[in-house]
Amino acid sequence: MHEFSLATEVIKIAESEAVKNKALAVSEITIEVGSLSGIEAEAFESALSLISEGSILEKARLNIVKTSGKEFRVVSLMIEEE
Amino acid sequence: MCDTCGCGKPDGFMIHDPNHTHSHNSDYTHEDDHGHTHDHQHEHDHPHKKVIDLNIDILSQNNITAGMNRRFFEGRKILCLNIVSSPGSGKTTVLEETIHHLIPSRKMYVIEGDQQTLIDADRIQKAGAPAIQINTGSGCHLDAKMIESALKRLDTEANSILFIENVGNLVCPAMFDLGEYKRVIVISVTEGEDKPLKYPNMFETSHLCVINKSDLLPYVDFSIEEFMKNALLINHHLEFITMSAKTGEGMNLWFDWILSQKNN
Repeated sequence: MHEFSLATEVIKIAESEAVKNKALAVSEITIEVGSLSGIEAEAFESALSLISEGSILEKARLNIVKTSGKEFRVVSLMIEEE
Repeated sequence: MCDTCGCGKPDGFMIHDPNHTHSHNSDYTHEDDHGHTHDHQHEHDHPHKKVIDLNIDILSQNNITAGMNRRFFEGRKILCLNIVSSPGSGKTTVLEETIHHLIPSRKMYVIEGDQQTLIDADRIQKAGAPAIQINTGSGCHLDAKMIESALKRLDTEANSILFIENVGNLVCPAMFDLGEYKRVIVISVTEGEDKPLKYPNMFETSHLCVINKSDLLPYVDFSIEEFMKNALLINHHLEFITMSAKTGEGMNLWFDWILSQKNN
C-alpha cells in the first residue's frame, strides 16, 4: 500500500524537476530500488502507472534498476525540451 | 568552459562580470560583432532529449520533516516513542495502562493513527491523556508531515512523553521516520514466532520489542526463546520485555524502560 504514497512522491519530484528544467515532457524516469528498501518493485510499478495518469509522468517509461541495498531514489529523468 | 562562474556552460546559467577575463589557450578568435546569426545545422521538427541526473532519495521530504520533528522534541526534552505492531497486539491497552501508572509523575500525550474512527483516541482521553486521532483513510501508515500537523494542535509541554500509536501494520510504517527517539514494536504471544523473519524491516528498525499478552502463554504454542532467536537474527541490538497489559505482569519493566530513556 505504501507504494502509492511513494509513487505520489516520485510524481512530485518529477514535476518540480521538469519545471526547473523547462521540460516539455518527461520521456523516461530511472528509479533505483534496493532489495532491503522495503519497496516491492512490481507493486511500485503498478502504483505509479495507476496514479501517473494526467501527470507529467503519464507517458514516461519507467526504468527500475534493482540494487541490493536500502536505496530508493530517482536516479535520473530523460526530458524533452525545445 | 569556465568552472568558476559557469559561463560558457551550454545549459547552465550565465553570470557576466565585466572585470572577469579569460585567457584562452586557443588560436581561435571571434569578432565582437554580433549582428550576424548562426545557421542551424538541423531541423527543429523534433524535441531535444536530455538526461538530468538527480539521485534524489524518494523519502527525502519525509526525512527532512522527521528531522524537524526530532529537533522539536529534543528542544523541549520530549520523549517521543513510535509504537508499531500488527492489528490486535494490544497497543492501546498497553498505552491505557501506561497512562494510569505514569500520570502522577509525567505529562503524557498520544497521537493515534487508524484508518477510521475515533475509538482509540476516546479510550486514551478516558485514561487521562490528551490525544489526537489521525485517520489515514486509505493510507496504511503515519508519516512525518501528519505528526507535524498533529503537534501543532497538541501543544506539548516540555519534559513530557509523546506516544505515537501507529497504524496496525507491520509493513508500511517501517519505512517512515516520524522523528521519534525510539521505535517500540509490540507483538502478542498469539502471533507466530516467525514474525521477525516474515516482516524483517519493522524488526530491523525497532529498538525495543514488547512481547504482550504473556498471560495467554499457557494456552498457545508460542516459544519466547524461538521468537527472540529469530528477532535477534534480524536485529541483534533489539531489547525485549515480556509482559501482560491485562494482568500487569512484567509491566514494571516497561515503565522502568520508559523512565530510563532520556531525550536530550
